[in-house]
Amino acid sequence: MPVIETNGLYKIYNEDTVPVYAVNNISIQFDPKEFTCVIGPSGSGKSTLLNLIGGLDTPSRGTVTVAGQRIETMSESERIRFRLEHIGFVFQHYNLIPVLTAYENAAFIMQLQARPEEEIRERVTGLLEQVGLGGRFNSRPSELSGGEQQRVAVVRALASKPDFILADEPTANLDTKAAFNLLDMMKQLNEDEGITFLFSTHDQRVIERAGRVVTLVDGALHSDERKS
Amino acid sequence: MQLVKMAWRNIWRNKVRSLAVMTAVFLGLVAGMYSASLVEGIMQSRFENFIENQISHIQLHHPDFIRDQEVFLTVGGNLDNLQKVREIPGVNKATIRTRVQCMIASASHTGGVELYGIRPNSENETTKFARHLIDGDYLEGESSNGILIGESLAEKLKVGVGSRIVLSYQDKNNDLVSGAFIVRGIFNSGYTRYDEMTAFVFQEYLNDYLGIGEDFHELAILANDINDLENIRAELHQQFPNSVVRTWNEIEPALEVMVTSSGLFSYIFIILIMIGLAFGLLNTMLMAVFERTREIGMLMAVGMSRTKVFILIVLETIFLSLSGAVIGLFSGYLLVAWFAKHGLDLSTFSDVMYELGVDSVIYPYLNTSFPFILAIIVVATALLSAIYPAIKALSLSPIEAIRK
Ligand SMILES: Nc1ncnc2c1ncn2[C@@H]1O[C@H](COP(=O)(O)OP(=O)(O)OP(=O)(O)O)[C@@H](O)[C@H]1O
Ligand SMILES: [Mg+2]
Repeated sequence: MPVIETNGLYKIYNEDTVPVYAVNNISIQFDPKEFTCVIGPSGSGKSTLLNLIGGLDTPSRGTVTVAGQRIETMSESERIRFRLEHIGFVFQHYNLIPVLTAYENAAFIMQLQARPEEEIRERVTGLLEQVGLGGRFNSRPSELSGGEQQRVAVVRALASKPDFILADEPTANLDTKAAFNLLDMMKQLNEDEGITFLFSTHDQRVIERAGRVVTLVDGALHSDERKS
Repeated sequence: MQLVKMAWRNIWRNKVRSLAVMTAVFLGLVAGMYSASLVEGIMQSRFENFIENQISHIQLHHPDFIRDQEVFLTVGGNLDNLQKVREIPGVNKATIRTRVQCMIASASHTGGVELYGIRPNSENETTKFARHLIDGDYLEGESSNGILIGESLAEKLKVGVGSRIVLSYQDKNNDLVSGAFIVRGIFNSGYTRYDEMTAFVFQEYLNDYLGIGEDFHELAILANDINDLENIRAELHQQFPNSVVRTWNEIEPALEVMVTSSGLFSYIFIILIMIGLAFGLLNTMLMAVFERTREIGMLMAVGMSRTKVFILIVLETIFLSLSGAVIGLFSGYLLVAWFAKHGLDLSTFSDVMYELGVDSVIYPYLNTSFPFILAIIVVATALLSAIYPAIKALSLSPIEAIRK
């Protein structure tokens, strides 16, 4: 069973005047453990598609099924709850809470889920060490580099073992080296944890690390390639 | 816990702004507590003065005397009665008086006064009247024709200590009698009108003139405890079956209104301060929310419930107000306590204070529960001021917030 499935998905802006098909009839599935990259020119609908799949936005038409549940029909509060339990998010910026330390940020989702303190400590400590932030537990986001901040964000998204992680241009603010590092780290976690990643990028260099590349043009699915 | 930590740290993100709000809360509460306690202290002083210098806690009269003030409307009794009254449990001081309306005349002026026949010793114990004397002596020694008159009346009559004046009044048979009195002393009670209309003589001397033996018109009692007047009333009824007993609030209903309204005044003052506080908090929290739209959007995007976002904003508002309030309440309490011990000397304005019936040194008074009630009011104000900013925060859309 796919983790994510969309059927005839549309997001149309200004439907009454000059319609913009930000997402145009996309039906696609993502299987567990896939490491998929969504690419396409600016304005091709990458962010819109990811937001629809993540339940941050509601489609004009079509369905989104995540972990067997239809999310486009949920109420706002139900969707917040669903996101907390099933989806990990990494954004391009404003990912972290400035007043919390790296550790507290990484533990944030698990704490919202009210997981036992002991479990949180073990999991978050292990993951932060794994991504090379062993010495930075007590640093505030403002004291971390962009790459380090994104790693904390990935750890936060991953720690609670969601069904999949959505990352909209997670490397856009990073230099080449940091971008590669982050991608390698995500790939590693994808293999170690067996967790599904769906991320978008502009960056030709990171595309080759993806196991599957989905290309959008003008909101429509242009190509869908799997590497074996 | 996570929320508490975030809320606390969030208020320190903009230190200057938060400190400004806290300082305002601090100053508002200190000033509010101090002025409320001052008003309360003035009212207390006024209240006590009025009771202790004028009406006492309890008065007893012939049932018709209060309305008619006729000479023959006396309460029967002799000096043993007064002794028995003093033995009633709870009675601190007691005195009896004869009261009669009369004409007072000197060589240059004639006017009406209310003449009190008093027992100088017990009168002074009960109302400390002797301290009002500004010239001459209090009534002392054997009963005689000495009289005490007010300063303003003395000026009208153009008399001084040692002068002779003539009083005319009706005796118990409604016959007009006149008597000559010698001014022994001149008093100033602080109430010009009262001083102009009142004079004091020996009760024994006056009673002889009136032909009422050892009867009296008025019995005044100072109790040990103001909350224990009903027992005394009951005892008095036993002892003087044909009489009416009134407590201070029945004698002067306005006094009771004053006592209750002074408390009200404090709260009006506090409410005004709280309205100021509410606007300050509202404004600060709105700014804080607008500055953090992206962050709050992100919190909701990753799954923080609306309830938690709401609680976060409310907690921040409460912390912001309470940190100033706790210090403010504490300092205000210390300030009031210091002045309550040492008194606030307003003798520079003693004339005004005198007119107000207040001592020139004021001891601010604060109900011990007041700071706690204030703390609750501050939290309630913070809660109210938090609602609008919190709703604003909830209306943020996650996608708007995370868009670059
Ligand atoms: N709120 C909106 N109102 C109107 N049009 C919108 C809105 N949001 C997005 N669009 C349009 O939808 C289309 C898809 O936008 P989207 O942000 O998904 O593209 P993208 O592929 O993520 O672009 P980029 O690479 O620049 O991030 C664009 O044409 C955009 O202008
Ligand atoms: Mg985009």
